[in-house]
Amino acid sequence: MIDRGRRVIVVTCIALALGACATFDPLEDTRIEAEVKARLVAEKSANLTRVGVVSRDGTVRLNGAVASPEQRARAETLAGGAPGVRRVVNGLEVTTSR
Amino acid sequence: MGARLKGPAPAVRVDVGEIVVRDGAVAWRDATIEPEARLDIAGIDAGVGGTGWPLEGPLTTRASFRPPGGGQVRVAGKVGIDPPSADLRLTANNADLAPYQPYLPTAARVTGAAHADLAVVVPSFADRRATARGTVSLSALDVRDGQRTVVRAERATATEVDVAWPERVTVGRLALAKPWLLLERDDQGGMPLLALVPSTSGTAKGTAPAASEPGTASATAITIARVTAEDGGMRVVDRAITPAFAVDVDAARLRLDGLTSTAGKPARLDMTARVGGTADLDLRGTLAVLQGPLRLDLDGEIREFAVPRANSYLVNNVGWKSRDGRLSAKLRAKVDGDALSAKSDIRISRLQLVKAGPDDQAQSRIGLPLGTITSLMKDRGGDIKLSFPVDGRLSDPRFDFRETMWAAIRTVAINAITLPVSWIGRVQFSADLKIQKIQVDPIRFEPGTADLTPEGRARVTRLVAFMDELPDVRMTLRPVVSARDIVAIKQRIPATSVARETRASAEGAALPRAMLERTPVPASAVPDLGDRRLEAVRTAFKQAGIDADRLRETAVDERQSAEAHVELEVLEPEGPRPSKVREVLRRFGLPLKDVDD
Repeated sequence: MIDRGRRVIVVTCIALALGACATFDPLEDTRIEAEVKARLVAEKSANLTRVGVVSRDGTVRLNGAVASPEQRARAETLAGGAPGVRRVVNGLEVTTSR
Repeated sequence: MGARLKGPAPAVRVDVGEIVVRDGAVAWRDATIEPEARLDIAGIDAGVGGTGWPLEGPLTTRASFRPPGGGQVRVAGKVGIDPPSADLRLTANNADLAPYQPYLPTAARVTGAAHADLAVVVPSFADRRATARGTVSLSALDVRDGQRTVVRAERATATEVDVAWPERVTVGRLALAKPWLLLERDDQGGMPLLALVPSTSGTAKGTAPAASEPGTASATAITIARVTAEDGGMRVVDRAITPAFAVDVDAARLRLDGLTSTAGKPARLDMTARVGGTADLDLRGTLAVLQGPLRLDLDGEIREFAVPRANSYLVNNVGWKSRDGRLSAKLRAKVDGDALSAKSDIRISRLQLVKAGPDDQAQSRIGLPLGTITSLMKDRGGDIKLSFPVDGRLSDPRFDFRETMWAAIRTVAINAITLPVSWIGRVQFSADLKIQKIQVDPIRFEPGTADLTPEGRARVTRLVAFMDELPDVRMTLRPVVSARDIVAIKQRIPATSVARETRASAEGAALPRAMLERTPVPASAVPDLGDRRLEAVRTAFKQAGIDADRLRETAVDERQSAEAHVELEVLEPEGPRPSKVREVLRRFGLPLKDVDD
């Protein structure tokens, strides 16, 4: 029981000390970017083929322009559903010219 | 122009100064095509001069109107009556393309705006001949597959347009600003873009294509003196594999001189682009794509492409994936009809591979795990340099690009491995010419000692050179204590100590053979000898600057073989080590996503 308690404390301390900074494999970002782009391209009911996708430490940033708030939300949902994505920062602008 | 109508002159002549139309409209409905075309032209202001009776022409004509969807079109010039002809100046500004969609022979949805400044001459409508000279451009061009943009260009401008229909269409320069393309293989392995390419069949209900009809476009010679593209891009996505592959090409610049459908010199291509955000791509050479059989003669170079971006293909085709690596390659490819001849010089730096599945294609096709192959191919700078040709006939049903590539890779890998391995041993092949084993010559020792024989010293020297040249190679060392070692050990045991144990006499004398055989070897003697030999090899490597981490030592092996030696075996390289932080967190039971799973 004591061992278990110590273990929890140590783990917590390490986690707090190091944060989440060093645990994400950069290789994952490459895979995530490809996966998210493929999902956006595969979406037939919206025009998301040109959405910019950048992944850093599992945080996916979407940029560019889409035609409607619905498409903006759809892009975010698709990106968030890709395996390994921790968070989506939706920087898409809604423009009517598209 | 201006010829009088045939027949006797009428008794009455009527001259009309000008017929004027203000704010007119035309509604055009065409139900012969699907979907039905609905074109509404509005704001028509027109004036026709020179009319009257008898109608002689030419008629002076000017008109402006709002074409369907918006924009402005102006037409001015003369229209002949006999024969029906025209000599007009046509200008269009922001004419919407979308309403003409039903007339386009493609399922793609095309939007954008057209701009034109053309001098059009139709000598005779009956002859179906015309000339047009001037400038045409499209802006905000957007080609969609359903909702999805698959082709886009901010602007496409054709200048020095010179059309003599139906013989030729000549364009001095076609300039594309920010063109973009989606090149996609879908999850069924199909190419949606190809399905959108206009077919030769007509769209009109019940009409058949008239390809052989005189005056159709099939006989028209097309020449574009120069095509340029600035700030182009492409998204390449392959969803037929898992995980999906996707990479963006951007900052593309292209210049294509002499594109023509007529026989003659092929077009000259010069293109640069950035691939995957970091890699530079250069492509130059000649190509003939509009004039019969495909002919290409291209030199390409890509620099610093991140190999992990191609992991989808590595995983699917090789069973490995890359955690790091940069690929630079020079490619020379010639295609003449269906004959392909290509040669590539590839340099891969900092390559780190990890197994991604049980199916190691390199193992089954070449004989060694890919990790071992690459470790044997890396030079002292950590680079892998490959040069391999690919030749074949594209139309040959036996031509399989994947198999051809594997055959080339196999040849290159075996050639690359065989030479350095010959310094330290040999490559053993199986009956089907796969690598069966890398046999490393053992390091010989004087019996019962950790002293290298002269041959052993020479082999250490070669091994050091080999390890120095191939910094990714790791080896196991297994000390072997032989029967001759045992004899030598026993011979060094002082006779007195043996005698005490065997109750023999003759203190200090050499042990008789029978006694030698009965003499037990101290329990520690064999492992001690093995350790000392390992130490001797380790020291020799260390003095030569070889990292001790690259040597894995195993327990001593006692054999009846006659030679005293240390065996060596090339090890499959370890994958990249996980971060220390990950190791610590995992040790404490913190659940972490394992990216290698």
